[in-house]
Amino acid sequence: MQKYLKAFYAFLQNQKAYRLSFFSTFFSTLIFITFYYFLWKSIYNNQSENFEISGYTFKSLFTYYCVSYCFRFLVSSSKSTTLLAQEIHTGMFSNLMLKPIKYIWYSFTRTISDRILKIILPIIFLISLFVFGNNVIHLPKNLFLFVLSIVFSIIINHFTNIIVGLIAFYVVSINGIYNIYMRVSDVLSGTLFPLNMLPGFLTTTIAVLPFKYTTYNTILIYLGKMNTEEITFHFLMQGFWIVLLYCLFNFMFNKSIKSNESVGI
Amino acid sequence: MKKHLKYYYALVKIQIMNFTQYRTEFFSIIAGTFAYTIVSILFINILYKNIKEIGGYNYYEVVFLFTTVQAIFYLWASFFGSTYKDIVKNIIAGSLDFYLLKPINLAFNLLTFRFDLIKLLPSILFVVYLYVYSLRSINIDYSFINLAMYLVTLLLSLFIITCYYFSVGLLSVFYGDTNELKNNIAKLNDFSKYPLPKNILIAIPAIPNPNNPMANNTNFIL
Repeated sequence: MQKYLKAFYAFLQNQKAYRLSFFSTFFSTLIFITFYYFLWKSIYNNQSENFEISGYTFKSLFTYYCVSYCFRFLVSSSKSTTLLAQEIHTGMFSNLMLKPIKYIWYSFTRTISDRILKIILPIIFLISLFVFGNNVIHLPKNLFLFVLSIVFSIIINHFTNIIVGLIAFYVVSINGIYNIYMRVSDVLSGTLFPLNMLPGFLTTTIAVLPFKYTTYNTILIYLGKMNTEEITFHFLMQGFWIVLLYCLFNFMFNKSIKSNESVGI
Repeated sequence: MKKHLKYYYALVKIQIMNFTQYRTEFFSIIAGTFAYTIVSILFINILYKNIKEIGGYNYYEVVFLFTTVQAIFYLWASFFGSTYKDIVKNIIAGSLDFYLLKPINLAFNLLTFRFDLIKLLPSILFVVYLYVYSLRSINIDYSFINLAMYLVTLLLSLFIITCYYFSVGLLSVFYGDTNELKNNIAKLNDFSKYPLPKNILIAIPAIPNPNNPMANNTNFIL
């Protein structure tokens, strides 16, 4: 455990090196939130306050996007994919294999250190919206369950990212696959729009994938749109996916390193 | 001039050979560039499943606006994509010397080093198809001045994006890793693709958004 802690502190120091990058993540969130605010404002324009689209008033939909984008880089970022691919293609991966560490937890340490600093500004932004925003967003209905769901979502997201990153053992460049994965996961996780806006057959298909249990369900917990049974089922599914993805990663990892040539480019 | 054109021709040839060397990479990159357009059109379809218009624009007008912006973006990325992808990477890695040592105009080299037309051609064709599809369902008052202004602003938009990303990329000389800043600027693109309220579009020039002329393109033609 200590070795991972030391790696965590080293990665944290690395994050502090480029401060512009630290602030840029927050500005990125602000841009998206501003964009969606004005887009949905023009859609809900001239409608009554209680007018709903797929069960969302303007306030609940704006809350959805605020929470989704403030926590987006926690639950749907995929830096671990590109970093694993980079390590494999440069030959650095062999260096890591020689160390007495498990790659998945080393990578998870790196993921957490990358995100832990960047959450500060979005949280301050959300709190400012509550306090000064003049009733523009909802308060969380169940903060503890929301935070717990976020923690499990981070783990699921990390495992899915790293499984996609294993493709780098077999291809020269992962860029195309990475782009497809990012777009698809944005849609399937509900980051782009709430999943209940999709046609029925698609929502049924999405329910058998892990993405829905990262962003969409987590925000429904925040908005209080899930009853006790649904929340219980959600956490059970998150636990199921964590175990399944961990086993899948181990299986694929052991198979993939056999084809690792440690050449580097 | 002849030297620069010969150099560019050689560069394009190498890049095409490099790109088509590995089939999986070739098809996956093409599929990846498609993915953004498909997801965006899906988003527009989801929006219009629930409402009839956004800011006075119907479905076909929004698709027309989106495809105009996207087409310009793809054209920029095809010929001047190195301003987005390579400049920051090269400055941070210290490999700008590779460009400085060549007997070629530095700006020309930095701007044109990447040729991605082959990668983006299927996406460009798809966007053009959507463009024509939406154009057929819009009532437009065609006039020579309208069309001329439309073409002029399209070219100006291309010029503005190129200069803009070039300037942002060069900030890496002073501030190190500006990848996040560069990505954030790219996200301002989204303001151009949808009919946002006019006061926002007017405010946008105060924030350097080179794509604003693109949004205004459709005002010439609609």
